[in-house]
Amino acid sequence: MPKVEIKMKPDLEVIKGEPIPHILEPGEVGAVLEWVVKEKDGNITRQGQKKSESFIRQFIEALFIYFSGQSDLLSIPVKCTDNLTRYFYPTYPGLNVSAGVGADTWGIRIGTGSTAPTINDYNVEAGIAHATMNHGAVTFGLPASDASTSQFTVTRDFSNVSGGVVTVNEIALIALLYKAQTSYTVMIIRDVISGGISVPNGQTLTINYRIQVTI
Amino acid sequence: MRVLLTLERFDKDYRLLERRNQWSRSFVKSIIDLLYIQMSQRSRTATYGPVYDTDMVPAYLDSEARDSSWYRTPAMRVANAGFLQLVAMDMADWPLTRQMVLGADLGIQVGTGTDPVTPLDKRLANRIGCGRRAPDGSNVLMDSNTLDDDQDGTIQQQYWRAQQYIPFSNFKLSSVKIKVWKSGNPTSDLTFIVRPHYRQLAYNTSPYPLDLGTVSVPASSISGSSPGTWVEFTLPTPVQLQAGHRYWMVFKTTGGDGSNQFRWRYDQSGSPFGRSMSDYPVSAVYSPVQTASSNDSGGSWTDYAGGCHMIEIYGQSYGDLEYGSCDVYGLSISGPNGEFTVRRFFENKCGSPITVNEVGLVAVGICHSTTSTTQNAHLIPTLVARDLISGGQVVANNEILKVTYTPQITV
Repeated sequence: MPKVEIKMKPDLEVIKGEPIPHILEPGEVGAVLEWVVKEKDGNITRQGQKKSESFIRQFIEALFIYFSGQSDLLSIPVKCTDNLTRYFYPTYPGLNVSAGVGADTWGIRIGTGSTAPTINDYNVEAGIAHATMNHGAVTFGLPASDASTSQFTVTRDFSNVSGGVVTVNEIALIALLYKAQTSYTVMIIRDVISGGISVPNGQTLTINYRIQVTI
Repeated sequence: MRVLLTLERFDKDYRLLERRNQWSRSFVKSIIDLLYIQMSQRSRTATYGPVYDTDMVPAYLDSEARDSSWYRTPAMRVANAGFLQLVAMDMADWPLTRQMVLGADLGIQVGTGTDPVTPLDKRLANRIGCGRRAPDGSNVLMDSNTLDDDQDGTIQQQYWRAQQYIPFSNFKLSSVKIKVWKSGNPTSDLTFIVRPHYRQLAYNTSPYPLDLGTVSVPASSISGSSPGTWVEFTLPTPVQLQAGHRYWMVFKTTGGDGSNQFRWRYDQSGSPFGRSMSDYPVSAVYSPVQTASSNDSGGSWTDYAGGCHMIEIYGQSYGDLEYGSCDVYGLSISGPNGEFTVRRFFENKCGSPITVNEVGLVAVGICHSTTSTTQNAHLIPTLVARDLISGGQVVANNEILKVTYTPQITV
């Protein structure tokens, strides 16, 4: 089995200098999902891009919590990835997606499930574990804008150490929300890739979520 | 996610007169900045910025957590309970009132500006103030401090002087008059600059080096005998000032020396602008009016509480609307759709019709001291959305305008 190394800090500076993709409709608040599969020497074997179709209910609930500044007397129920509903208020900063190396329950997650997203999804359908696809640290490209679009980028590398081909069908963004001082994982975006992304053993899948607004 | 913007106009008996809907095309870069700060969990020692407040002053923000035993205003909050509501950063620290902003300054805002929307907009082009002030129609005296001058403040070379000013209503500053004379024979112009206040500093505060407007008067037009005369400085373009915000009236020159200088008269011990501290908004009470001097051309400032320079402030109101609370409510998930509502009422009691050409949304960002999460934290009101209203929306006197943003998702 080839030895694969996960970089602590992926090559974010490459992303920062790139043009901002324009896929969203004017006025839309959303995300652009990109994927790149690379061999160990850096050769790109496949890549793709699509408009993320699925900010799901936990995103609008989290946005409501933060816009409203609810107190603990008016907590808002949000379903966590363990399928339990908890009541949140913004005592602590939330929407944290900065998962570290090996954290395979939050940040950008990948899975093999292919069921179309619904607004009520609360977790990936069939998550892929760190032992199968090594999870790098989530990193961020700084906010930037052009004449119409503003964005920042959330990036994560996944390296296939399974010994075989792994097909990634679903990609999600899972954030931490805090209840008092305890954090819980909440899925805010879930996308399904038609046909999946085939990642051969020893190759690395890089996922970018470009969170965007357009005017 | 799309955001539906709805404007509804009602008569005084709350009968609907008109409704118009449009898709908001207005979320600007600052909403991305705030989401980034939250998602990446920027700490107080690794802040992100600049993110700009609504006076266009940069700030460096974080998403630092703090002791959960205290209530704190979260980043991204837009809701507030009323136009005079002050949104506290932290109730434990409430006497440190720099941590508060006026409720009217958060949430939905309206204005008369028609400048095209860009991703880098930092404020409405011309925000309508909160209140009942009628349009002035011409420039009028807005404020003054003209009594009991007993001292000279010197202006020469790198020595600048400044007067802090907190307007009680929104208006466009057109000119100031100051009582000034020249000692000896300074030959360079005397220059007036209006600058915003630097919100992120801890206690003593100072003019932020952003020139909102500036104009110079030749030395030859200034009296050579004490105690001087009133000299007017008329800005080439009026400057928007917002009620309850702090600004600095800065004066500088380039030449001169200890024997050739300008002297701006001031009252060392009097009540600033003839007011007591209790006259000021709570957000300002820790230092209602300050004078300041700089000995390095505005690089750093020394503040003096109390006292006030001799100054008259002229400008023009374009009419106010009374701001109601900004409510966030109506979270609803049904089938493939989810939405909630952000709403604010505006009532026209100014006696004249007001035309609303732009609508915006202001949320708070937060920054902390690098050494403590419990002190020196600041709320930074940040424009996150701005929309133009095609053709404008006229709101007659006694009418009510309801503005609603409805963020919606469909999966």
